[in-house]
Order: sequence, then C-alpha cells, then structure tokens
Amino acid sequence: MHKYIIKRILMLIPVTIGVSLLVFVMLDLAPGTVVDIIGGEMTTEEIAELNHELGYDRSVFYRYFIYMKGLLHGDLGTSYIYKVDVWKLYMQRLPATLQLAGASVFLAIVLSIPLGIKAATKHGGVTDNLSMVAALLGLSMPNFWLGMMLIVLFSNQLGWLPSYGATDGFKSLILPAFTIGTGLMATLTRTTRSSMLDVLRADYLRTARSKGVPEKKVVKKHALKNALIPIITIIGTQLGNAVGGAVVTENVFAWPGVGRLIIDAINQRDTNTVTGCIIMTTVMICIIQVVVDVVYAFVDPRLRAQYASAKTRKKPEKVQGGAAA
Amino acid sequence: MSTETMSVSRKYRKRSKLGEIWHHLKKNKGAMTGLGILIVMFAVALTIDFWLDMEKVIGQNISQKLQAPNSLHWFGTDEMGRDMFWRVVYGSRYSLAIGFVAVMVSLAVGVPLGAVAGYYGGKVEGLIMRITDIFSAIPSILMGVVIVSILGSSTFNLMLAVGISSVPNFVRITRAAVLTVKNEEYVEAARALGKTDLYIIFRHILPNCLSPIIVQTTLRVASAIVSASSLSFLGLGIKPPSPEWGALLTAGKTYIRGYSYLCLFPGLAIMITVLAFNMVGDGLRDAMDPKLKR
Amino acid sequence: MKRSLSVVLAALLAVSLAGCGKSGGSDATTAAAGGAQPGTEAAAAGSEAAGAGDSSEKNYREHLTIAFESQITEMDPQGNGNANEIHAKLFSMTHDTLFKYNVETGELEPNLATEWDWLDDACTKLHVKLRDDVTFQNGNPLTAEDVAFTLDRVSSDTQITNYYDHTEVQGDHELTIVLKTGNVDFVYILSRPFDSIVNKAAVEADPDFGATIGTGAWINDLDGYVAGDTIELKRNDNYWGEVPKTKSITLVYIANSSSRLMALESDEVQLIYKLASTEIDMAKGNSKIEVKEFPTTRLYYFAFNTAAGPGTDVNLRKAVAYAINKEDLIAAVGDTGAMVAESFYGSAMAYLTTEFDEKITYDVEKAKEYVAKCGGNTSLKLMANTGDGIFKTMSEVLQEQFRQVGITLEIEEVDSAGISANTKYASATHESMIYSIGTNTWDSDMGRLFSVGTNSNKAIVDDSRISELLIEGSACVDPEQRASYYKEIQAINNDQCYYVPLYYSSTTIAYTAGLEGIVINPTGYFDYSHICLPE
Repeated sequence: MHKYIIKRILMLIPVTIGVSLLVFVMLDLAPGTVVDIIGGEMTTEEIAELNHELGYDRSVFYRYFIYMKGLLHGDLGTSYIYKVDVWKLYMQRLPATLQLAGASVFLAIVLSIPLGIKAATKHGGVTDNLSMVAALLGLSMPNFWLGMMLIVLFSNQLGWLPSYGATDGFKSLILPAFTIGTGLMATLTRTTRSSMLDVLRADYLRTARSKGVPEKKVVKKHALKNALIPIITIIGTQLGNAVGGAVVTENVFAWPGVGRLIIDAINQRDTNTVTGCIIMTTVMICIIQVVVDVVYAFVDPRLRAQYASAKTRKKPEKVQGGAAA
Repeated sequence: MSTETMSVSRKYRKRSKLGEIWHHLKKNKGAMTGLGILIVMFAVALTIDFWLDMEKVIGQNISQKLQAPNSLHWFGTDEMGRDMFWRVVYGSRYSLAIGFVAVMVSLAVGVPLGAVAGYYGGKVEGLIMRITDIFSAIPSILMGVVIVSILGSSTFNLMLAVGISSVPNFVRITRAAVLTVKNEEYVEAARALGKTDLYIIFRHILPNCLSPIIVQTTLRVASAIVSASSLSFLGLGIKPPSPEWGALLTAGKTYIRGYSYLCLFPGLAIMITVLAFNMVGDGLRDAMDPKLKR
Repeated sequence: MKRSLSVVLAALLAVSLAGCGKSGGSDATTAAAGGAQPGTEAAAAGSEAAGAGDSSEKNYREHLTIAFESQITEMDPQGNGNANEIHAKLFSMTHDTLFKYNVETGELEPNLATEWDWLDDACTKLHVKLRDDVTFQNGNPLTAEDVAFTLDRVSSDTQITNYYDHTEVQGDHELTIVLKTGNVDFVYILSRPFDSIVNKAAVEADPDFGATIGTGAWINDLDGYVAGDTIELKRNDNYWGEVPKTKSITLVYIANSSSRLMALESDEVQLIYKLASTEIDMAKGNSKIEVKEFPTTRLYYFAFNTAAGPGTDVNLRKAVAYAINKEDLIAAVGDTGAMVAESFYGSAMAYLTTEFDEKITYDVEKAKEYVAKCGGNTSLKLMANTGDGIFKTMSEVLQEQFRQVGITLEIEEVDSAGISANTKYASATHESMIYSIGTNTWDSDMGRLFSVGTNSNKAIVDDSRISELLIEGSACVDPEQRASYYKEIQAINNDQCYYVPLYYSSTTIAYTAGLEGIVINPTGYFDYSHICLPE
C-alpha cells in the first residue's frame, strides 16, 4: 500500500513538469503578454525594461527554467498582476472551491445513491423511469445555462437565494452547488442504478435470496457494498473535476474560487498564476485519487490484497464520462 | 483456420450484428425518439440554406429590439431586433457541426493513441498515459484561448479546441477496451501467424472494442456541443453574426434580468439536442451489449 | 455641441452630492416614495455643509460594501496595472493628491498642496507649497521628499513621463516640479488619483505593498485582502481632513451586472457601479434603491489602422464615417443616456468644436459615393474585444450598417490581452477596431490618441501637423490661441477620418436609499471617501 502511494506521488513529478511546460508554451503562443496588460500607458523603454525584468526578452524555455528552479525550492512563483505569492493566492481561493466541490458531491451522494438504489430495486417501475428521465435531462443541460436559469428563478423572481459570491454562508452555496451537482447527480444516479442492477443479478445474491434472506437485507448488506466500487470511482473523478474549479459556474455565480482565478489569470496572461494553480490542481487531483484508491481497499478486500502485493493494478474503469466542465 | 475463412466469417458476423443492433435499438423508445429528433435537426441544418432567407437570420431592425415572444416572433427578438426563432433554428447548423467535427478530431487522435498504449503496455503505455494526464490537466478554456488565438477565431478552430480537449477521454476508453481483448485467442492466433502489430491492432483488436468507443462517441458529441457553447459563453466563439447557440447565450446573458427568454430558448435548443444524442447513445449501448441491457 | 457640453456640466451639477448632511430619516422616505419618477433628486442630494449641526447625533451604519464591475488588481497608485479607472476609486479613498479638481466649479482646489504657481511663462517650472499637518497612515509626516519620490517613481504613465523631468526639494514643505516641455495642464494631470502621494520610507521598506500606505481617509487593510476579489478598508481616525462617518468599507468585485443589482436589493452591498441598461427601470421600481444615471466623458470610437492596409485609403475611411448610424448603435447597446459624438474630442474639454467644413452625419448615399471611389477594395477587418459585450454588439451592428453601403466587415474576435498586443503602435496588425477612452477635462489629454509611438494611438496616426499643434497647444497660456490649436486638430481628424467618434457613454450607480456623500464625477474619478448610511 505504501509502495503504491509513493509510486503515485512520484508519478506527479513528470506530470507536473509536463503540465507546467505546456502551460508556459501555450501562454507564450497566445497573443499578448502580461506586459501588454499592465503596460498600457508605458513608454517603449519602460516596456522593454519590464520585458527584461519578467524575462519576456528571452525565450519561453528560459522563463520556464527560471520558474522550475523556483518550484524546486517549493516556490510557485509570484503573480505579475497581484504581486502576491501564487501559493497565497491559491490558498485564498481554495476554501471556496472546496466548499463548492464538497457541497455538490454531498448533494449528489445524498440524493442520487438512494434514488439509484430505489430505481434498481424497483426496476422498470415509475421511480425507475422517472429518475432515469430526470438523470438524462440533468446530463443534457449545459451547466452555465442551468445556473443562469436558477438565478432568474430563485434570485430574481422569488428572491429566496443570493445570486453571487460566497458571502451569505450556506444560502449562497445552494445555487452554485446545485448547478454543479446536477451533472454529478445524473451520472451518479445512473451509475448507482446500473451497478446495483449488475450486482442484484449476481449468483451469490440469488443464493442469498433463495436462502430466505429478506430483500431489504439483501440490498443493504450485500448488494450495496459490492456495487460501491464504480460509485466511488465516479465520486472520485467528479471531486477531482470540481477541485480544479468549475470554471464556468464560478463565472456565473461570481464565486471566488480557483476556477475563476485561473480564468482571470489566463485572460491577463499571468503565467505564474496559471501554472501555479494548475500544478496545485494536479496535486489535489492526485491526492483525491490516492484517497479513492485507499477507500477501494477498504471496501473491497480483494483490492487490498492486490495493493499489498504491489502488483500492477487494474483500476476499475470509469463507467462513463462525467458531465462536461 | 485460414485467414480467408476467418475474415469471411467475421464479415458475416458483423452484418448480422448490425442487424441485431438495429433490432434492439428499434425497441428502445427513448433511442427512437432521440433518433427522430436528430434526423429532423439534421434535415433542417443541411437544407436551411436553400429555403431560409439569410436576411431573417442576420437582418437587424433596431426599432423592433427586445420584444418578448409573440405571434410574429415566436422566440422574441434580440437587442438588435433580430428574430430569435430563426437565429436558434439556424444555429443548429453550427452546433451539430461542432459536435461532430470535434468528436471526429478526438477520435482520430485518441483512438490510435489509446490502442497503442493498451496493446504495447510497458513504457509506451506509461508515456502515452502521462501525456494524457498532462493534457487533461490543462483547462479546456486555455486550450481554447491558445488555439483560437494562434489559428484565429473560426468555426473549425473552435471545433479543434473542443476536440483536442476531449482526446484524453478517448485515449482512456480505448486503452481500457483494448486491455480487455488483447489477450483473446484470436489476437494470439494473429500474432502466431506473424502479422504486424499495426495489422493486428486495426484488423483484430479495434473492431472488437468498437462498442464502448461508439457509445462514448455519441455521448461525447453531446458534451462537445455543451463545451463548445461554454467556450463560446466565455467569449471564444464563432465569428458574428453566426448564431451559434453558445454565442446566443452569451449575448443574452447581459439581458437575463429582464429578458430571460433570450437565454431560455438557445439553452433549451442545446438541451434538446444533447438529450437526443444521449438517448441514442444509451440506446446504442444497450443494443450493442445485451449483457449491459438494463 | 456647445449644448452637449452644457448638458454634461448641468448634469454634473445636478448629481454632485455633497457631504453627509442633515437630510436623513424623513427626507429619505419622501424621496424613496418619489423614486418611481426617474431623475428625481435623491434624498442623499440634500447637501449641507459637512459636519454641520445635528450630524453628530445621528447614527451611521458601521460597515458598507461597494461592488465594482471590474477587478481592482493594483493597490499602488503608481503601479503598472492601474490603467483602468476603477483603480482611481480606490486611490481616492486611501491616498491624497496635491490638487483636487472640483467637478462643480471646474476649478482646481488645494489638497495636500496649499498653493502653487508657474515660475515661467513656458509652464515648465511649477512651485508648490505643501500642508505641514499631514501624516501618512504609518505615522510618518508628509514632506516634499515624498512628493519628489512619488513623481520620480511614475513609469507607466505617458501623461506624466512625457513632460516630467525632475523635482527640486526646497525644505520640508516646498518644492519645484521641473518639466521637459511646458504643459499648462500639468497641474490638472496631477489631480488624478494615479498621482496620489506615497511615503518614501514605506515604499523603500516594503517595495511590494509599501505604496498602499497613503495619507487618505481610509487605510487599506491588507489582512482582509483577497487578490482580485475583495479589498477591506478601515477608517483612518487620524485623517488630516474630515474623518469619515463609516467605520469600514469593503470593495468587492462582481462581474455580472444582474448579480450586482441583486446583491444591492438584498442589502449585501450598499452601492454598485454600472447597471445594465435593461435593469435601470427595474431598479428604479424598487423603493429601497436609488438610481443615478449620468453622462460620462468616455468616448467610444472607431479607429482605422491608418498606417497599413485598407485603412490607408481616405475614401474608405470617409465611406465608413458616413455609413455609421450612431443613434442605432446607441440603441442597440442600450445606453439610453449616451450622447452622439460629432467630434473626436473629450466632451468636458474646453475647446470642443463641431463646426467643420464637411459635416459628417449618417448618409447612405454619401457613403456609397465614397465606396465607389475605393476602386473595389471595400472589405475591412474589425478587431473586436471579446471581453466586453458592448464591443461585440457594436461590431455586429456596424457589420450590418456597412453591409448596407457595400462594405464587407469581417469581425476578428480577440481577448483583451490580444487587443493590446495587436494594436501597439510599433507593431499594429489590426485593420480597424472599436474602442473607448475615458477622456479627461483638460485638452492636452487628447495628445495620447495622436502622439506618434503612444499605444493609445489606436489609429496609428502619424500626422506632422497634429504633432506640431499638440506641442504648441500644451505649452500655450493664451486661451484663444490654445483654442485655435485644438480646434485645428479636430478639423484635421474630421477631414481625414483617422478616428470616427461614435458616442459618449452614460453610466449608472445605484445605492441603498438614504446613502449619503457620493460625489459623482463623469471622468470616473469618483471619491467614495465620505459615503455613509444614517440609520
């Protein structure tokens, strides 16, 4: 298990190097630099000076090298725009993003798993059909559009919930969490239902039933536990997506999270901030994946054994892609 | 078994399989509804240039601006007095095209990479999967900004941006599918016959893991439409005055407080299209893999 | 055009609201009831000499929040990235300038400087005396050294760097500012919040945030700072002027205008800047909110790249100028308070003129005549900023208007960074663009748009006569002579159509009914230092 976690973390190194290089090169290819943003009224000499100071008179690889040198010392760089440590910037925004990610995943777990189970046990019934139609609808709605429509309804028309920012505590969390959560809820309901159906048909449950174990117990004790792996996979993936910051939703709700920070930084060509935040997001996703894998081991003893022997492991594949970003 | 008989029997099997899929699909009400919607949409999108006067789509009439939906303008008019109904209808061309081309791009890149990764394993796999990880860590919006700004903002470049961002999905799906079949007997047999790896991948392995890829494709068309409209929503869209749905939403965003219909209808259009694709995708999955049929 | 100028000034007078007076409770409710009538004087307008009478007996809300439409990314008045006027609103709270421009009288008033005069006729030596009772928020006294230090550190602002040479410090509270070339308007330039005085010792001790320490009524509380999102301000109880009645103010960034309005409606914020045009009536219908619409000096324009490409053809430029229906443009962007611009010039500047030999108005036939002279080269690319919905709408309207006269307009959408990169004077790649500029009240400010090598010169104008006139104009003290210089510049542009002026925009603020102490300034340099909400 330890070996596996260490391997996982070591794998972060090439990914981080690659991701940051890619971000540097991509931002270099985009028209304009941060100097164009902040140097609007500057004279030519001053622009040249600033270019020199920030390394824009050298190649992108030089700037990348300088950045990586800093990164080796644990320095994510300084934002050109805000003149603040990127680490600090990221940490200022992370709580809001985690809140939102947590809330949406929580919402999805609370609503979707029971619904999925019910749909599976009453296969073909009204609940099943309704929930599947609803899930399909949920999957098909563009996030940002749903967000806007929710604002119109709940903030404008009814005036029940705030429409922006994270200032109103729990209340301001509801709409954005629901907006992000919809796609997740849909996916999770579908996954829960299908993996429950798989398990409910399995031979050992048939055996259990034939032995006279009551259906409720069959579902709760045996089926759910065995159906959990794909469910956890989906939750892990979605949580991973969400910590990257739900870019568009954060934009719609003026949510002070990481996604909006990254977008603003991209628009301002603030390379250090973009790179630093994306590196941090990669790290966060890796942590979540490790946690998910550890949870697998708890849920499924077979997997635990596999980790213990540190063999090449076959991760349970995603059942299907999640909702679009 | 000689190669000839094998391929013949496979062809035969394939044909009957297609028939079987259609047979299953026909019974699925949702999939047929979706298919119906899509057929109508495609018919409209392909023929609209022949029967609709472009003036109706792009002609401005400022004095008629911001009218709520009425009998003359079913979906109301926008801030330049253009009829929203025709703009939404005309927009289907862009959204459908984007969905398809984007997914073709990701298929063309993702499937071979995933197949190679799954087939060879080891270092090749490690390398491809790490690169995939790297690319999936890049926000699609950044990809959009870069592609659109290097190549200019055009419909095709938007498609490219969306396509590239969903490559990692196809790499992963294909790899997983290849892993499940690469040790099958027929692959071993081909290998024993001394066939090249390329031949084996394209003739034996890929055809046998088509179903997850096809299913993923239909679902991805749907999400490509959504992500193209998100990019458009963030200001990286198609050149005006082309009424792409995402662009319509962006334009309507400013007026959402008092004229929410400007956002409602393009959003509904996206939703219905994506829903149709999802329904067909679900249906196909059930039909192709009876084991999975729920 | 004279009329429009007077409209601006009248509007200025009508909406400038002074200090926190005695108008509170009952007045506020009456005005709120009358809120349905657009444009009625708000309760807050009750202007009364500040600090007079019963104000001490009133209770004011301790904390207020202001929502802005764009990010404050720079907290240093001389910092690099403060080109956006939004920053001026912060600096006028945390810092002070040498002089203060009174929007009502159009006069300069003493602020940190008590008196000033030009030592020569050519306006190159400005002698200034400072107040001796001012301390910075870190306790250091204000000295002439700080002023010299501040002016020396300006680097990203051609309005200063084009003229400023050095400062001679004469004792603690006296100095002489020496310019490279004379500029009568330099004192006005120094009244901008970007030229607020910072403390030398503080900046030297902390190069990153030392400049956030000013002499202003508000202290920037860096502990509450969330970059790009929130700025927390605390009252400066040792302020040398009138101490604000509110204890703390938060500045937040809410990009979406509907969200801003809804935050105001729910009392999450008490003052918002910029409402979407479609929301104004809605906001006016709410008795808890007061709305002020006022014209600004922001000029929207269409610029050709006159150095290369199709924009070098004066016939095409004229065709475009005649093809544009500015009223329709204004209607499409929904800016109901906007004014059509007939001359490419600041609306609040003294020497604005619209009397030209060839009066250019919307005229399809004329436009077609000029199109005919273009010899078939009638396609043009327009670079539009995707970051701002207004430009998107405008470019589409123009595309349609040009189509009517036979000009094909292809719209290239680029984000803000791309716009600045692609339209730099030395390396411009655009063929044409639409843009806007916040014009100041002094005439030499137009120099930015015509000077060779300046990045604000979006039409890449290199007109030797205009350059000459600009230099003569800024150094000239005789009003009549100055007028002739600046009027000639306008006439040349009208003739050549380097720039096509479109309109002066209007804007809106909305606030919780009863809020007092807002001073509106059409140039965008608002001062919110003394806003307060009686309870």
